[in-house]
Amino acid sequence: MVRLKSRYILFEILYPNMDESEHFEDNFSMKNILLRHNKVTPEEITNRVIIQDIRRSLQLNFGDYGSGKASSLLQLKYFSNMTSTGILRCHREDIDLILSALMLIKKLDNRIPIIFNPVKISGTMKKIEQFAIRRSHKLMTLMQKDTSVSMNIFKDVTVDDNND
Amino acid sequence: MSSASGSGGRKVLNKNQKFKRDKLRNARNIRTQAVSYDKNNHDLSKEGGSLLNVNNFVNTRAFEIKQLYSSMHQSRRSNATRVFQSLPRKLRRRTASHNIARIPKRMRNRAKREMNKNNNNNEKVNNISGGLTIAAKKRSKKSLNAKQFYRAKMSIKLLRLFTKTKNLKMLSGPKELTLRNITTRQKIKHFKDILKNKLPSSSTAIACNNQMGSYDNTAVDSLATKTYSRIKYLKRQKHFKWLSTHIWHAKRSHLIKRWGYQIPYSPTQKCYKLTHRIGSSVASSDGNLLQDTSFIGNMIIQNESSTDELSDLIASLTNKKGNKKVYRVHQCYFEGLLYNIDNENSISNAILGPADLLWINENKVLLRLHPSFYEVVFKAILKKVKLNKNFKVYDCRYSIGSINLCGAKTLSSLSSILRTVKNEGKESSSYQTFTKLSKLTDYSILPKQTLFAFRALDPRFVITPKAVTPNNGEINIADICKLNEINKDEVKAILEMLSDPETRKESYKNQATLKQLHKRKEAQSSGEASTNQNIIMFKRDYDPLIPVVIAKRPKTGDWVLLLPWNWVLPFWYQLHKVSKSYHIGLRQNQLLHFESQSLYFPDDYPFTKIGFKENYFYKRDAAMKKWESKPSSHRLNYDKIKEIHDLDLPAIQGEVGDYFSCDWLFLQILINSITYLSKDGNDLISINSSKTMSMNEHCGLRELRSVNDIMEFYNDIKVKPIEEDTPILSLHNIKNKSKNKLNPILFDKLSPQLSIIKTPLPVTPISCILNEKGHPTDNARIYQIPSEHLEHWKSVAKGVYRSNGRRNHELNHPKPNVKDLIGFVTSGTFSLSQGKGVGNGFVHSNYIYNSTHDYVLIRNVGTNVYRVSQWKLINI
Repeated sequence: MVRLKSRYILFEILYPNMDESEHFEDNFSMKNILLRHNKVTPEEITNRVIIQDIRRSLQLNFGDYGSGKASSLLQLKYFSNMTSTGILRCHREDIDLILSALMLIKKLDNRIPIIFNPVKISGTMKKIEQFAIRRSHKLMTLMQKDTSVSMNIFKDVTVDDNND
Repeated sequence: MSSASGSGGRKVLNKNQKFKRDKLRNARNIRTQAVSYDKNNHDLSKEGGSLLNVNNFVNTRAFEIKQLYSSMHQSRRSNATRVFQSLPRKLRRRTASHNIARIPKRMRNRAKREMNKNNNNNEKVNNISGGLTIAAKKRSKKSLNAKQFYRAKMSIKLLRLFTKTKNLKMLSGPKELTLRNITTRQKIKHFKDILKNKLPSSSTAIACNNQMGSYDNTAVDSLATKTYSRIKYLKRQKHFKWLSTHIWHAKRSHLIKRWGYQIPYSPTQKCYKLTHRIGSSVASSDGNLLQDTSFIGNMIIQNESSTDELSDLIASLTNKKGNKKVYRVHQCYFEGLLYNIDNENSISNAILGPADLLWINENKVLLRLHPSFYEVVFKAILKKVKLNKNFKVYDCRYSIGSINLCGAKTLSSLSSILRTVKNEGKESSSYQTFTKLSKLTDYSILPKQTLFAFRALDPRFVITPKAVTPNNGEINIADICKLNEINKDEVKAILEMLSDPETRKESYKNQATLKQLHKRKEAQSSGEASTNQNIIMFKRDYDPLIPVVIAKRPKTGDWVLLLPWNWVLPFWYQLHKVSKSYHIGLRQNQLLHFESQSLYFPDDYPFTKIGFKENYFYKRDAAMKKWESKPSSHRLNYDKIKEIHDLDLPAIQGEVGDYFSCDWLFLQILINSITYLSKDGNDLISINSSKTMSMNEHCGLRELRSVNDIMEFYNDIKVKPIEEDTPILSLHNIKNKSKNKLNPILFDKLSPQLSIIKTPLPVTPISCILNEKGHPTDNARIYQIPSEHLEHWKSVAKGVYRSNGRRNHELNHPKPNVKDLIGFVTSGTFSLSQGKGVGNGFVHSNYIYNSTHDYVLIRNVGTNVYRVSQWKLINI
């Protein structure tokens, strides 16, 4: 029997700093950067809205064929508004389509400017969950550190060790 | 068909399936934190996402982590698994699915729940005899008829009386119980009489000094009768005696009935790699392997007046080896071959098999013999010393038991169960050195003669075995060197104790039952709090002290624990409480021998009578029956194998010799005939086409002129049954190639055919390691390399490579002829310790003398592929 092979994508929604009223120039610490980009997703952005947006992006960018192909097994397994993190499931073959579609989404619900950041791709739910746990731990420790890190040091900026 | 039609192609689920689907869905769902909506502060729900403070950020992440963990856990648990499936393989039991007594206690509650869930309403879980089982399907309630009822009643009565007599510390001899002509009523009467008089009624009755019913069963100058510890199992041991650990083994091992014993053959658990890892090399070993070797018969020969007489006897038994000063005076453990001393019944000086020997003092020696020839040796010795009143021969088969141990943690695990007490204010020095060395893992640094002997406590006194920490400092080389000097007197004294029936009996005095031990433990724990709860306190003058001897076997490198027979079981139980202790059987023993490239008795001893039978009858029959049971299309047709040899002789069809064994008769006839044909420098002719067959007038056998005639000659001979008294093989041990040579065969002038059959073939054990891929199997044929092919095979052994750097395995090899056959592989397979195919076998000794290189060819039975291999001599 042929098994249905799927891929899971761990993604986060980042909020680029559109609001000029908030000024952080005087404090480029890691903490502030994280806080600025990881915001709470509004309540009305539900799983359905996100899936709709992805489908729309697929339709727009890849046409009927692309959208029909990729959305056959497109599921949002998990999305937390508080942390703006989620897990997507898709067909193994369509992973590139989905990733490009995610990249091309500029606004959620046609009004909130966001960036979809796919953090990790894996073949099993378990490994994705484990990775998410590790990542959250890392973010937490970064957040709890009260040392302000200079922006110039690039190695401290990357928080994702997505090379495994 | 109709049910699926209305659902629009979607499968209709029944209630149970829906429930299952929902359950799975729920389990896989990851909960999310709700967005806390604060009416006063709209910050969080602000368009474009809202900013969190540090505290919130950390909290949300923490929540997420928790949920992800629980999701992972739940989705795993929601699978349709039952508790017993999560157990390690060692703890899995066949009946665990319906009997919770088979599941570890900490998991029983869950198991109970799962069992109830799985069973339908009509099958409720019942509590039967303490354990939870599914009620059996309605059993037909047949009551016993009058006769059966009477019998049952009587047997209960008999058992009750027997227990009573046992409790009164007197055991009726097994003779009364085993007699067939005594009725149950008479037996009952017999027991009642014993109880009434409170005295053993007959001469065969044995007074017991403990509640366990242990007694010393030693016979002097005669073979001992079998020991029966429990009347219940009496009848089953009529032909094959059980070891004391039989019931333990019956649950965990496959047993075979051989040599008058039921011997553990192999654990039911797979253990091939484990045996290799723990047993064969020190570096990878992290545990120890245990084998109950009580089936190895012990015999003590004593001569009080003269040391020389005993020394001479041992000299004749061991071909002047076992009586050397190292063994006799310095008490080295001897491992060697045992020779026949009975001149009348069979060939004198024939090798019987390997045996162990330990001198207790210069007047007393302990012999440890394989059960297959124990009685032969015992009778032969009795016959020899019959007229000499000074000699005493003790049959200690059922009075001294032994456990074999190997692996790096042997001493450490032994030290965790063995404890001693101070004797007259002095601690045993042998025990002290033993505990000191128990931290060692590489036993090759110990001297060849390593013996520990002391009086140990009942091992069950240590409730959870723990390795003792020696308080007398680090191990240094000086200690190891004089290891045996310092303990010499004590070791001698303990050996003396172990060999004495009275002291052995003394060691059973007040041997505690489990109930008694438990009571003592309870009393102790309720008493003073300061006492060590892990050890039951030793009561002087009440508790027994057991003489134990731990000896390192110099050749095999494993350890032997010698102790009184009835103490084997308690020691066995306790040894298994130590972690990483595994039991093995005969098969694993064979594997360990194979991996160390040494010979295993009886399979690799075809020059002995027993080894020959093993090969020619037992193993051959088994292999043949297996082959015959297959349909003809699925079995190899040995007659039709083509191109085995360079030149096909008309007398051979397909495979040469017997297909299912090492055909030593074939080899004997072949090699002796070739020696005969080429004795005067004549050339060996393969086929003589001009001459027709002719017979020798004197013996009525075929005249030999060519190799083809030899094959025909073999075909004539093989139909006759083998005469057991004329051995086909003789062992020729080669230590130094240049030193001794083989005696040439003197052929009978008139009928050389008879000389050919009657002269045993001298063979030498070798071990071959294959240079290429492939591995030999049992009974593989060994060929010498014809001199014209030597260059080719040497290059193959070195490796012929393709242009891409890979080894070329598809070469065309030249093939030898049947006259190049020199031997057989007795045991061969892929060896994990070498990482290559290895075969241990025997070849004609002349080949060893004449060879200028160490390459031979090996061909498996039923194939025509030759593999080049390098041989080395095996020393036995």
